[in-house]
Amino acid sequence: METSQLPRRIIKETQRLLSEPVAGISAAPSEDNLRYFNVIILGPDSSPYQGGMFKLELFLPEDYPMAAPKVRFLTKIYHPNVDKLGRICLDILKDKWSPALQIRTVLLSIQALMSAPNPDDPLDENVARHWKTNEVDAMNTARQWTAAHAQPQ
Amino acid sequence: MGGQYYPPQPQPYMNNGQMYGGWRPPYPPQQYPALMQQHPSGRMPPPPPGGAAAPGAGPAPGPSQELTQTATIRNAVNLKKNTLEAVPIPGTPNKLAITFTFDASQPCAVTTFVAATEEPARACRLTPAKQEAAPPLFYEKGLGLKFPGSAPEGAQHVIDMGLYDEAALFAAGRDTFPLVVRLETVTDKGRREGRTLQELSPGAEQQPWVQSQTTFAVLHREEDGSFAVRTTKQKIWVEGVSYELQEIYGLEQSVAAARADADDADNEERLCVICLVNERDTTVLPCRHMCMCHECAQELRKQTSKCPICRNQVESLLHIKMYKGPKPLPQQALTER
Repeated sequence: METSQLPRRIIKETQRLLSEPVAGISAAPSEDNLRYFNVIILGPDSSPYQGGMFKLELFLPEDYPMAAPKVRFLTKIYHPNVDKLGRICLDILKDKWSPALQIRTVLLSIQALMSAPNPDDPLDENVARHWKTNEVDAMNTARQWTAAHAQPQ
Repeated sequence: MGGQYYPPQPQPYMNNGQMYGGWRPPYPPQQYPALMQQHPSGRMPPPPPGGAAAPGAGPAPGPSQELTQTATIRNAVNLKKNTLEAVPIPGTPNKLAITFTFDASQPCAVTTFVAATEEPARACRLTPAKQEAAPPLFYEKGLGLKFPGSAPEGAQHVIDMGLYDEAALFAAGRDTFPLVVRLETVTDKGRREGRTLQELSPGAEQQPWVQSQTTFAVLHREEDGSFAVRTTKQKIWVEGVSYELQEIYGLEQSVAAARADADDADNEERLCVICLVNERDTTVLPCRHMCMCHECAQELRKQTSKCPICRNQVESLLHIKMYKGPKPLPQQALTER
């Protein structure tokens, strides 16, 4: 593993993610690219994603931490703030990014977004409409998707 | 409240110690988001030593104004504001004794004022509404000094509840304060000129050869009927200028962490939030979040104008040099422990 030109901040964040993992979240750097993380977030309890295991990818761009990490769901998820490509609509990943945030805080925010979908600021219009017109049905769909796509292999 | 530029509460201010990051600007305070803000109605600060710049001459234009170095003012006296109390006097109903603990690195005089009016335009003169100010108590330098101590004159430093409407003691006005405590010392220069504390009369206009700290407080009644005292602000008087002490958010953790874990390089509490490597030494103004090292702070300025902690606009950056040597200086005596 080549760590020489990796900023100290990234090394420290990585070490802490591995030594003090957040409950329900695992994040480990890829062996060939230490700026690329394989992430797993467990579906939060009492959400339609409960029991699911969601894979994400997280990439730290060259100008991190001045610029936000790029994060995307790899596992299909039925959620008003996530589109078909797995892109996430979350303010701290865009205009509300601050260099005081870290990989850890970003993943915690995504975990919280899974617990509390926000159909008023949607990324996928159809899912959001579903959520707003019939939340019970939308959550059922989310549960079905969790059962179909987010199971550990 | 008059002269409050910043969101007022809560204010556990930077009582960590011996040094107050301050500055002595050669230009008017209004242009300057001050760590220690000059009282708005105060006068122009004096020209810097050496007289290089005329008062009012602005700083050289250019990027230099983005990162400002602090000057350090050693505070010779410090009232520990959490210790300020008004306690019942056995056998004397309606009167409360004013008590507190303070540190002094110089001999000092202590005076107290009840329901007093401060006149910033007259060198922060203090005039009590009803009770005449009791004679000052004099102390030699020391740590954890108790006021009023055992001196018989101490018994005169009381709040006579019978004289006031309670409401007058429970709220501060624009320039009136229920309880004011002033600690005064003579500056080195004043001593060389033969000045003494005994020349001072309580609450008089402050002299340029005096360095003082003034604590302003209000009373409030606890559920059990006793009185508690809450400090609303503290000001210091240095070389003829009055400054209000402002908290720097993050400084206390930083200093405490540095002391507790001098060897623990990984304690994030004291590290720059951006690089996680260097210690925090730069405060964002006007929000006063101390969260970065000065290298990252300058890098940040190239990329964004928002504070990393609160996302408010960054107007300027203040680089604070903190003393971290192994041996405490005599002035470190003022550190609250």
